[in-house]
Amino acid sequence: MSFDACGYTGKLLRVDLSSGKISVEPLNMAWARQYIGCQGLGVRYLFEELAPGIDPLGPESKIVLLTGPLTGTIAPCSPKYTLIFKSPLTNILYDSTSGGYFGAELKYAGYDGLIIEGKSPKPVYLLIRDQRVELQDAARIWGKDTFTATDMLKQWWGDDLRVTVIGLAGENQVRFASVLTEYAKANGRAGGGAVFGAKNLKAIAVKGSGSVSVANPEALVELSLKLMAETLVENPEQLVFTGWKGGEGTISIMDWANDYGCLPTRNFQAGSFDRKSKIDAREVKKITKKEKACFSCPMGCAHQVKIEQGQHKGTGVGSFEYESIAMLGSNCDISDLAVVAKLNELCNKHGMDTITAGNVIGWAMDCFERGLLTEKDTNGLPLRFGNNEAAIELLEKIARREGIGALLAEGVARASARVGKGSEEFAMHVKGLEIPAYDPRVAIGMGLAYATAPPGAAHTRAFPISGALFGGWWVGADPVKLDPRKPENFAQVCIQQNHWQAYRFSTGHCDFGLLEPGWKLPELLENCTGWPEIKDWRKIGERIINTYRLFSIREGISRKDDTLPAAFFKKPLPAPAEGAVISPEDFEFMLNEYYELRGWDHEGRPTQEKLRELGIQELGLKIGVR
Amino acid sequence: MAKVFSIDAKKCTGCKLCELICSFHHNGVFKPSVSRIRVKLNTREGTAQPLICRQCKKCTCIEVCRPGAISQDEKTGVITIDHAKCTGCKECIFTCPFQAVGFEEEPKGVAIVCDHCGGKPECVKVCFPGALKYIDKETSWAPTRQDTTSRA
Repeated sequence: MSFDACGYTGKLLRVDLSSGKISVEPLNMAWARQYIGCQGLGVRYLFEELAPGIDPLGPESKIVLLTGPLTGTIAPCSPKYTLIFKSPLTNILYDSTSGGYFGAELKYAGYDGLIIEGKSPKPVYLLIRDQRVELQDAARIWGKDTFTATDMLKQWWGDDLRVTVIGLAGENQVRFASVLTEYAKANGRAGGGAVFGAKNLKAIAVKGSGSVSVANPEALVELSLKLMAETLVENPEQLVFTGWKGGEGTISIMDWANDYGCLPTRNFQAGSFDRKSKIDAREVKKITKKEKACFSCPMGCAHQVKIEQGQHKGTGVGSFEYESIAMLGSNCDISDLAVVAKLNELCNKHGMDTITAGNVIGWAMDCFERGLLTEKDTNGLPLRFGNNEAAIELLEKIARREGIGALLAEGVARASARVGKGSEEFAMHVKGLEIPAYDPRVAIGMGLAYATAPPGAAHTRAFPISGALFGGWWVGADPVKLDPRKPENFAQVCIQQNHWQAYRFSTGHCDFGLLEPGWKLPELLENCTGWPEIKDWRKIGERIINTYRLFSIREGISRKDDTLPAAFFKKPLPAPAEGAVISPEDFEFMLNEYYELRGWDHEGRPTQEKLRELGIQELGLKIGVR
Repeated sequence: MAKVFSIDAKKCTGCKLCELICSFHHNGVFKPSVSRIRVKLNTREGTAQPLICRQCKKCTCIEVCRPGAISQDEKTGVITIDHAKCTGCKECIFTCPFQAVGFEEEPKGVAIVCDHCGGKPECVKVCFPGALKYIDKETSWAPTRQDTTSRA
């Protein structure tokens, strides 16, 4: 193995579904040095390979699936692989990351990733067994839900095959369809499953028997073991997410979200939920069967839950998380945890993003209560807030695009544009991507984070809300004082976190990876790849963010799109964050400062000077940045 | 004193760090397919079952090995496969009731089994949830040992 390929297999699979041609090509190592892997590298590939203005659901769109250099190594909490595609919700890129076992398995099969292009004339799935890569007829699994399809693939090809698959929603091109891997984890957001469906691609299944080599294996192992021991043995209090240590996983967030008033309730009308105690960590604990980990993660934050009595007996969710419970629970005013689990199970079964699903249902209920949607529109379904049965039926309809489901399958931006009558004001999205489960009015910098997150409203690109509320999770440098309701300093915090997150999400490392010692990530990467310059997370992160932005600009994104739904500007929250609202002036202040600190012009376009500094001026020239 | 592995599958989170460190220790690369401990996953139910040699009293692997490549240390109970003699026929793999014998394709195709890393098993060091323990044989009747029968 050449020195250059340490941490990488150096190979990429290119699958042309139109012709059925499968080829192996070298990974672009020059780009890998600049963009690492996963998110960053995927954005770079698609900037090059996608023509502007293409239809995300057309044959000319592409799916890039990439691992990072740490994926498949012993580096702690590094199981990740990322699906990068032009989103049918936003018409700009999205990079959707998943954990589990698929990424490492792909690497052991000998590939850093895949590029899937064209459109298959009939349903197929891609089967990868080391060097044997085949497109197989998917007639027998097309139309099957994700669980059944995964069962069948495993039955045919072996239990230890790692599968990622779409359900009915993906087949029907629901714009927020997900791709589910191994019954539990998902490339959830922004409609990657719809792109699979549009290409007639049902699943990717992989079995690998090879290895991953790294530059300095002894040093990587030593550092990894030290980090794990430090965090898990000597500093267990840091690990609120570590299931086997009694940590509650992501659902622990619900306590503080409710206390501070940023728990989305009734389509973001309120920030705390009166029946929160029925769907919080204590309740989830009661139905938890097992605390699970992803590949190479000593923490294990996922909760496998099962409902054992009542109407929804037998309902199971492989990874029951805060975002899902908040969006499908409090945001729809649903307080029966068994129903929330049922909704989550349906999302998994049909392959839909739980965040968007909860957001869309919440919006539809809001419309119904205001009389903007009537029983005539919903085929008699009384879509009131808190109507458990209606929510369940609605999800089934969305997956099948039946009746009102066809409208909601378009996502909240398109649905509200069609319904009109002011429903756009409380359609909670940025750039077409639905807002996840943190109300930004409580810490207005979170609004800036949503507005400027490269792919639309995502909570994983910057998270200043925790820094503002309790000074936690500071990324590098000297802590800056943040007042949750004042606009000062949020821009620089968002920028720094943008860079760190873009960097982290390009390595294979998890968002939760060993929270504080995550700071050793650059060192892990250097030991893995042998490239000293890979430690410069600020520069690499900034390069990724700017490349992402250039892609968006080419698709017509500008300052006008870096904004928030009107409700956040107009409707103050009730108690406990009484009166919390984002004033347009404060928002403008933050946005101006953000652009300025970024070296972008007033319209949010990177300057040629900034791009030169990042070594990507030729990308700017391509889209006419001067 | 002879030592044995104690496995509590209920505590296993399925992180597979044991497979990573095992393959690194024996082969110098991260390659779970040649790990001598394997974690069998049931991703649908979320359960995980570590599989590793149990140093049986009456080893069927030794009985079926025609070239006589497999032997057991009388004192420690550790199984050794003599790779000079192993023909790669895989009889031992098929006969082991605990799926504890693996196979290494490269370079010459031989059966592999847990060698206890000379008395300091690497896998136990990275098992933070405590599913794997390395204990004295005398205490091995303890309930945790019996949990190995709960298969994934």
